[in-house]
Amino acid sequence: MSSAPSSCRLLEASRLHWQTAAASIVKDISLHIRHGELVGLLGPNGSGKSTLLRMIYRMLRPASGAVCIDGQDVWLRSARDNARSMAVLTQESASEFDLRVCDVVLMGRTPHQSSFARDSEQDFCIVAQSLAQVRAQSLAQRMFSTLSGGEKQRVLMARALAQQTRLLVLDEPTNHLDVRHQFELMNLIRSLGLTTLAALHELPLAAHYCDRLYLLKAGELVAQGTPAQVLTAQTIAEVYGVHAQVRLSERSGRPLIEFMPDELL
Amino acid sequence: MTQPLTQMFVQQRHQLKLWLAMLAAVLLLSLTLAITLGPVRIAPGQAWQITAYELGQRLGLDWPSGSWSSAQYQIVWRVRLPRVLLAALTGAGLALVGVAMQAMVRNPLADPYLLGVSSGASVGAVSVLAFGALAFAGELALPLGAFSGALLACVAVYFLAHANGRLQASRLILGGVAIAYCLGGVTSLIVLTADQRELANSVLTWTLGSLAGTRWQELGLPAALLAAGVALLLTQARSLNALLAGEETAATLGVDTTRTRRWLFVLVSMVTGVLVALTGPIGFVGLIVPHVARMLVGSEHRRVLPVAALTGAIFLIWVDVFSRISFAPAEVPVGVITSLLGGPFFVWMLCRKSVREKGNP
Repeated sequence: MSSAPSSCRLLEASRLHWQTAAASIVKDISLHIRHGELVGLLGPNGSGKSTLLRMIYRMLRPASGAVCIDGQDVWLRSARDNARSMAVLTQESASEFDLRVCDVVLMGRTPHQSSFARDSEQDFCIVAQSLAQVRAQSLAQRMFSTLSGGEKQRVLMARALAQQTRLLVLDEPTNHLDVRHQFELMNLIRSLGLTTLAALHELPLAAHYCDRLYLLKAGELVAQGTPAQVLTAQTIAEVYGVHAQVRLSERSGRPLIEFMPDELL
Repeated sequence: MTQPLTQMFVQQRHQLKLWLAMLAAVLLLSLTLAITLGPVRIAPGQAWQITAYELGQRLGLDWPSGSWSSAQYQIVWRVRLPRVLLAALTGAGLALVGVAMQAMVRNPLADPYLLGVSSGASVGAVSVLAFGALAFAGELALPLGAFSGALLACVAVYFLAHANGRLQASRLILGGVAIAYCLGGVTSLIVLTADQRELANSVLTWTLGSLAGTRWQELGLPAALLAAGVALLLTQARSLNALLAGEETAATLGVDTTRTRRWLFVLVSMVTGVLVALTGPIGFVGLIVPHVARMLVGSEHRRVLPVAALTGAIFLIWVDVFSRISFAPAEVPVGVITSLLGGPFFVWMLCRKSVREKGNP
């Protein structure tokens, strides 16, 4: 299949394929993430981003292809082993059952705990550290349902951090957040320095924060590379059907996108 | 920075212990009072003396017999104590089943009675009574039949509730109600067309859910099952917490959701089956009690499970006392009272839910 996995690749997904009876949702997509990278997964609604992510986080078994983390096939490992190397922020709606923030974060310790042992001092310390990392210590006692959208995402990030994994997978983490909170969350993700794969909707965020990008359209990989390589006027027009002018920022060297919404394709 | 949070967690543990101690005390008090209440009044002290005397006899201790009449002895030891204990076991069991089902389907409106599990158990039990099904199992035929029926209903409702790979609350409730009705019809059909006339009468009373006529030898199985169920659920409490957050979240937290769901099905069906075989379907305990427990200690399962079990025991003891004495000399089956309480409670929960959903879309 693909070339021998280089040792610096934490995640290697090769030739993933997924289909329903009616159509192929993800067609033959390969991607990899190196240690320390923040990789963005882009594409319009229905392009197969979520399906691809679900195969990567071991929720969907690919029709063909394989996902390896540290050279090990995720499907040859238990859910528990997997949860120790990969933390995931899904788009699942909040539950009707309300938990306290500290109990939500403590949940992140689940894959490390024996069912017969009670929570250890160490678990509590990790919960406290995780909350501190997302600057949400003051929320510890609150009920999760009373938090704002931005606070909820930060607390869920803390839960993912409490899993103490090397890889973070985020499915549209900035969804439903206002601009300021989007930046706050992305700054936080970048500052954690963890290897991260994030599906994103907002191209400017992807352009500004990600090291590399994968761009999907209708289940196929259209472009990959640095933001400057992927986010060109041509690919944006082709994939999203929107005219845009792209220039490189003088300060960051990253693409700045100016959409021209009056001239849709 | 870590210090205050750890302290808080430890404090939470102490709070739970306090709650459990308090509820255990209330349970003991309820047991005692429930034995004293009835057409023949028994003093609390006497109830304890008789119980202590009997227990002493079993343990080979030759305790002095106190000043009680043989009628009082019969009432306490042969009639009321086993009945009150079964009420406690049933209340605790149904509450636990409610908590487990609600976590499994992520919906606080789930209840074994409402979702047809009890009806499945009834069909199984009635089949054993009317057709002599599962005769090979001897004494255990009835609970085994009820368990099988419950398991089938449980699995059927669960898969009916799924559409597009997602569990949908509306489908869950509607599917459960449809199955409950359908199986209720089957039970009636079996009972009414059975050859034995007496069967019809006895089963009809039984289908209303009653604790009357409990005998000591009936208590062993539910007690053992309840102990095993509590232990199992407590070791899996973290998985239940994770399931509350959602199927995918639970899986990414390392929970084997398929396996967890499978043993939850079996556990729910076993407890419901055994209890229904003994008492008939008693509705809404699994709906009301977990809700109250969550109001007391929150939704975290290591706290909810023991609190719900104790609260359920206390709750059903008192409902049973009410059903025994409030319409004396007639006795109303306990299931009738729980339904009278549960229906409005369910409506109240629905209203609250719709208000909340309007509040934050």
